[in-house]
Amino acid sequence: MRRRKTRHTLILHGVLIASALLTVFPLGLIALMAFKTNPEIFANPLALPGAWRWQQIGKAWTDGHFGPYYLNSLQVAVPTVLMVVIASTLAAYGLVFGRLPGARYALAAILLGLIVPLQAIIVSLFHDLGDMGLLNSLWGLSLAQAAVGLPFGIFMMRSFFLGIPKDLIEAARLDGAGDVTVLRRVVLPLATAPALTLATLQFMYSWNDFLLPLIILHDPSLRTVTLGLFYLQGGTYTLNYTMISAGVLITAVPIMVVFFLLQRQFIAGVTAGAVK
Amino acid sequence: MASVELQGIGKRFGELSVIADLDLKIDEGEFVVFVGPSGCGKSTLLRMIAGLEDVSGGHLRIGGREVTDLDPAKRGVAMVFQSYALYPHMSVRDNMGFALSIDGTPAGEREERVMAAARILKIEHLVDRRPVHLSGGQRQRVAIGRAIVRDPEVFLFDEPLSNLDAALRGEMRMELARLHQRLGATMIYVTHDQVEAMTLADRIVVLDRGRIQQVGHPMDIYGRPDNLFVATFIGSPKMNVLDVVAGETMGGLLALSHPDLPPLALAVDGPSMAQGSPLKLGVRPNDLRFDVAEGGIVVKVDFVERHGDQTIVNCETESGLTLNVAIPGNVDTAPGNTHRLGLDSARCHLFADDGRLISRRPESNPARSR
Amino acid sequence: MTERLDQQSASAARRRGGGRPLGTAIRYLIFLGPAALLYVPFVLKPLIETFGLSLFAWNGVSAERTFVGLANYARALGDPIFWISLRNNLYWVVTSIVLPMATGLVIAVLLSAVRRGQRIYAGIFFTPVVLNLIIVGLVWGIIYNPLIGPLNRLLRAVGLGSLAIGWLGDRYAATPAIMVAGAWTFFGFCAVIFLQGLRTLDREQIEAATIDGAGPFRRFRKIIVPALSDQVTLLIVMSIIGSFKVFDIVYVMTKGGPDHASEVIATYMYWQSFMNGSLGYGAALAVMLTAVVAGASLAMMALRERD
Ligand SMILES: Nc1ncnc2c1ncn2[C@@H]1O[C@H](COP(=O)(O)OP(=O)(O)OP(=O)(O)O)[C@@H](O)[C@H]1O
Ligand SMILES: [Mg+2]
Repeated sequence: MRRRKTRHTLILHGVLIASALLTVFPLGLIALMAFKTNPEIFANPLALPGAWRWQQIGKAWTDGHFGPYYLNSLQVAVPTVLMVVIASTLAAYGLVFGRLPGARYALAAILLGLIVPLQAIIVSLFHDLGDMGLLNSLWGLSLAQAAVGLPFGIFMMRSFFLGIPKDLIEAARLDGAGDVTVLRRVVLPLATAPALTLATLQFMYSWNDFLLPLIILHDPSLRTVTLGLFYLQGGTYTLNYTMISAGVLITAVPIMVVFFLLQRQFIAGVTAGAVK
Repeated sequence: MASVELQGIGKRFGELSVIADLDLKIDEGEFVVFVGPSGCGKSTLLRMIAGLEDVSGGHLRIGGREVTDLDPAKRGVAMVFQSYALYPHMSVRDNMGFALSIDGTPAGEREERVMAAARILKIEHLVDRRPVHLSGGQRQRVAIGRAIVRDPEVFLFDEPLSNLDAALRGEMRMELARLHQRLGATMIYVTHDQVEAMTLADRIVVLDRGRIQQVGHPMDIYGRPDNLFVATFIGSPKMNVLDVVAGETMGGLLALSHPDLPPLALAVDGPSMAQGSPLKLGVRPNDLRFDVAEGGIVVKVDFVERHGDQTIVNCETESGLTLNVAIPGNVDTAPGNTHRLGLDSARCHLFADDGRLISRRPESNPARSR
Repeated sequence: MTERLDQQSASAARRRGGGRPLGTAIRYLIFLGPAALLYVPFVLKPLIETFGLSLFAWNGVSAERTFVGLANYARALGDPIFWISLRNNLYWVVTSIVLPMATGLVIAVLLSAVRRGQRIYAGIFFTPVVLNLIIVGLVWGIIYNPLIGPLNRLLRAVGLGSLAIGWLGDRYAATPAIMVAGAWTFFGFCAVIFLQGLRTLDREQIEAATIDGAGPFRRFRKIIVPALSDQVTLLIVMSIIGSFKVFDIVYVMTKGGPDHASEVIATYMYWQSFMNGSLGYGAALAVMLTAVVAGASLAMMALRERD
């Protein structure tokens, strides 16, 4: 019986490891390619590289302008995350505890944003951003991303606030706390966990966003990492597989590292984000 | 401490009128208990006094000061919630001192007042803990402590003990009585629990469907209920109610008839009853005599509840009417036994069909303390 | 006999700013102001404008727009590429319900049976979910590459060389090829959702069935699958929404080509609006897409509300 159990476990792990390898196989393949020369790639894409040519990664980093692109991505994602977390928390607090007459109309307007796909607004948004002089600007991208991410942020913070007992807020009111004090000293200290999950999720959205940068950022020097990677396959590098593979490596590895460090947060966030 | 005065207070939630035109004056230092069935508006009334709920009409005065539209924090009231509502991210000390930290009381004085309250409630050793690390009873004490620290004119309690187990509830009840004596503050207390109401209150306010049914000393409420609702709501086990028919009135005595009862006459003053009008006769289980030799009501025992100090016998008359009898100590009977219950007309309450009082049991103990 | 705790004056005298309740207008401003500042100009206004724009013919450059009523919507009905796009979206719906959900379910059941390493496995299967679709598109673009792609090498190695084609350049193979890449980014998500569902499943239920003599296959069908019906519903609705919104992965792998063969509504709308200068028509496509996605999203919210 005991032996049978062990054998079961072994088979189970065998199947899981095989599936896991199959899952990461495409990524591993690309990672190897990044170190190969183009002739090596053409000879046999599955073979190991003849040498670990780290300089190819370095070259892709410089030629692909990934340094500035990483800075651009950060310059977009950080304000986006801050805007979404702050505006969502305030709005959700107002909707739940703010004693706002007509709050349900505001809520309905926000829910509308939750069910409408980005494609529904993209053409008009492009022209409106142009009218406001926000095209071709990292700030413009931040604002657009934050606005698009906001409905989900409000929705998420709101469902958390709805779980805070009303008595707690009323006790604070009786203790002499005004709206700002209740928010700052009672609600916010309780809301750090959902706010962090929201921040993680929003950071990922912003970092991985493609459509908004594609239409907003025209100047090559303003590209985000994701957009820069996209343009790597066009233009002069059409057939440079080494370059593309190195680019994938450069952009994927940091995401994966952050993901494995914050795995719990990520998975919680993405599954919570399932409503969007 | 301060008086609390409600004048013509009403409350509507949209179309639904929960409380209508309610008047009540609570004296300085008084301990007043609101009782009534679930949904009758006790909490709503308390929350209007606290300022957590707007009033739809009328005036509210605390200590003679008009507070109808005043912010909750400025009314000089403190409230203890049924859920305790302790701030989960703060220590007991910070929970109790929260109000003082908001109004800018210096840290030293704050600490002094928090510790003084903690001493009264015997929770000094808990001040550095978070609420999650406290038992239910300890949380209750912290919630009360948080109210004490603010040194309010009026304490408001909304079913503060209902989350505690029976033993702890009894203990905290005495604690609250002691606290009231010690602080002398005005206290308004909402409860479902009759024992709490009877033991704690200087005056009980019985509410039903948003209206005051009776206000008075606990013994008055118990002994001299103003209507059928109060009569049946207060007292455990519940007062027995029999449907009787009015007969002739002669010499201030009204004859009553009921198929299961021997002839009965009750002293009534006021206008005479139309013969044949339906009435309600109320008699408390402990006012029925068990096992009289002759006469009385013939009943069969249905089941017996032995409480130790008293025995409650649930019986049925021949026509199927259920009567409860409470007998001090133990009693020798078993289901199926037949007994005779003695009914003394001097111990009965009489109500009109709509619950209005017609005649009540003369006061048994006029020398009650007040 | 009354003991006062505080002999000092009533504390109400000392009152600082934070304690003050705010007026209604100020509360609106503080709490909803920042959100409105973002939401109104960058979401609400463009949304309304898109509806308006769908009633006009406009090339995006000239000052004049011509009101055409519902002509843009009528145009879609007679546009073969619109029907190709819509058909492809529907293929996406079917594929993304079948492929990743089935894989995810199997993986979840396997994962729920292991004691050690569950988190690590889950992390690996979840990795493609967090990668952006440009990375995914490039990676799979290389897999499918006719010259260097390992897929064709593999086919030739096993003697199926006749099947080795330029996957993404083939009008019949392009859409399925992209959908496989899409499934790769979704099955790990399905697995995690199913795993959460399985955690709530009573272990004793399975053990009871085992004692009753149910084999592993029967246990899977009769107990595990019915217990996961909530998760299945959630994932199906999500698949529908995601399949209609799909854009990035198609755009990076084929741009909708060859000759619009792998086009979906979103890429076609992008092409009409930004490449072809038919903004009114693009807007009409966007409105139709919105109707489908919003409908599915509402269904999803109703489902969530239910439990
Ligand atoms: N915010 C509200 N909106 C609508 N109706 C309400 C609201 N709050 C209370 N009510 C209604 O007002 C009535 C009185 O409620 P209240 O909470 O005061 O009852 P209660 O006497 O405290 O009952 P319990 O003993 O169950 O606590 C109930 O019918 C309740 O449904
Ligand atoms: Mg209540």
